[in-house]
Amino acid sequence: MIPVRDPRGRRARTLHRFWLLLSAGFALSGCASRPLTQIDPPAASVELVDTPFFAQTEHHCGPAALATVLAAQGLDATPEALAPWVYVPGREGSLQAEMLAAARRFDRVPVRLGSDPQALIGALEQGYPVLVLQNLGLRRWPRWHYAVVIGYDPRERAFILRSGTTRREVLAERRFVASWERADRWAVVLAEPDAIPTATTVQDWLAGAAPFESLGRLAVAEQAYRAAITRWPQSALPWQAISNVDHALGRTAAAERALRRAVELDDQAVVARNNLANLLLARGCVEAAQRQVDTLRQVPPRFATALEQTREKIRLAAASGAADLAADCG
Amino acid sequence: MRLKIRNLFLGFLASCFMLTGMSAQASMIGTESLVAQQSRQADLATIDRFMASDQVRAQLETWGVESELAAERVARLSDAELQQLAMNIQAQPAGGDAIAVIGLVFLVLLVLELLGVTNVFTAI
Repeated sequence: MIPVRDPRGRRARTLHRFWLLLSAGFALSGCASRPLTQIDPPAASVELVDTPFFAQTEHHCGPAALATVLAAQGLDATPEALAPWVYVPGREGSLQAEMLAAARRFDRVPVRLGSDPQALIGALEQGYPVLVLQNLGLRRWPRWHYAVVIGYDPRERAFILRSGTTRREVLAERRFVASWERADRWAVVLAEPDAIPTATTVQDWLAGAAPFESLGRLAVAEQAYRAAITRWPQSALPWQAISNVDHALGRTAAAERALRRAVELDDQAVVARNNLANLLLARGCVEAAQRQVDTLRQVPPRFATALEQTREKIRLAAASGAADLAADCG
Repeated sequence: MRLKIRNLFLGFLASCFMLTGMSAQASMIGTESLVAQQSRQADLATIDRFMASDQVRAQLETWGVESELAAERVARLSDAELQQLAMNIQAQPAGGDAIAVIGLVFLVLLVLELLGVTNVFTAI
């Protein structure tokens, strides 16, 4: 494994064996983390050299890293302007949730990347600098640190970062991945709502966009959901998402159409059937609503409460003698 | 101290209410719940935004975030984020930097650093 490139090779090998032995000792004593995924190195190195750099001041790597990924997209962001939104003095740091929330202020969808280091390289190749959380210490004595991955060099097997006060930090892949691993492999790219990064899943994209819906910023959510429908036409998820925006905007007919499309694509889409039942009930289609919930064979525990309420509403409506009066209950 | 205990107690109480889902629930399911990762056990229908917000805001204030700012910041959090923070904000990582390490910890870290397990000292 050790390439013999110079006269020091032999010494390096001996040293390497020594470290291996010691590391084995640590592994046995429980210091080892789970094995790291092998990277299938890209042919050419990638480095987003135009990514701006903001040197962090004490404890302010959060605002600095966030400003870096925002400014890389041409947005007007500086660590000084971001600090009041993300810095927590008592913790001498920034929380992940608030980092994401701050990105949303700029109408950017924060997309969590997969836990494979390959996903980082994929994002870089597409031009996205990646915001990462590292734990530079140990699991037991964590030293949390935000940095921005801007490149990967396959020859050196090293990641290149904008980090702390270092404009261009070259970090051996093994070291970087280990520190990232200790921070549960948290990696995020900021995307425009209508431009979905390649290296993401429909689930992760929608999870990044959904907070806009919850917080009432429906125009941004709608943009992101529509992009998802185009990108994943066979998935039932974006249709369910868009129906929520339609519903929130009072476009009930459109909401119902979207949900019908969702159940066409996935007969057992629990949320779609549940929400469709509610919409049907609201326009007096009690029996049709009942049919929707009866179609479901299994309900995951996290939706059980909502579904039970829907069933209760249907029961109440049926008990009061309501029947399907509308002709188009479906 | 007494205030701290009181806050802890209130926080505990609040999470109890949240977890048992005594809050008003909607039978429509939003997109955040739809795509919440299974592992997070997010039953977002049961989250009481008001109570969770209050709890997280109080904690931010305790940590030195100015009152008005804290309220504004909390209002920007999604349901899932708010729920997560309300449940264990203390345990959440806060990325800052890696400067002050002392005593035994320093020695252990130094050894690990030399072994290449960590890189506290190269990446401040």
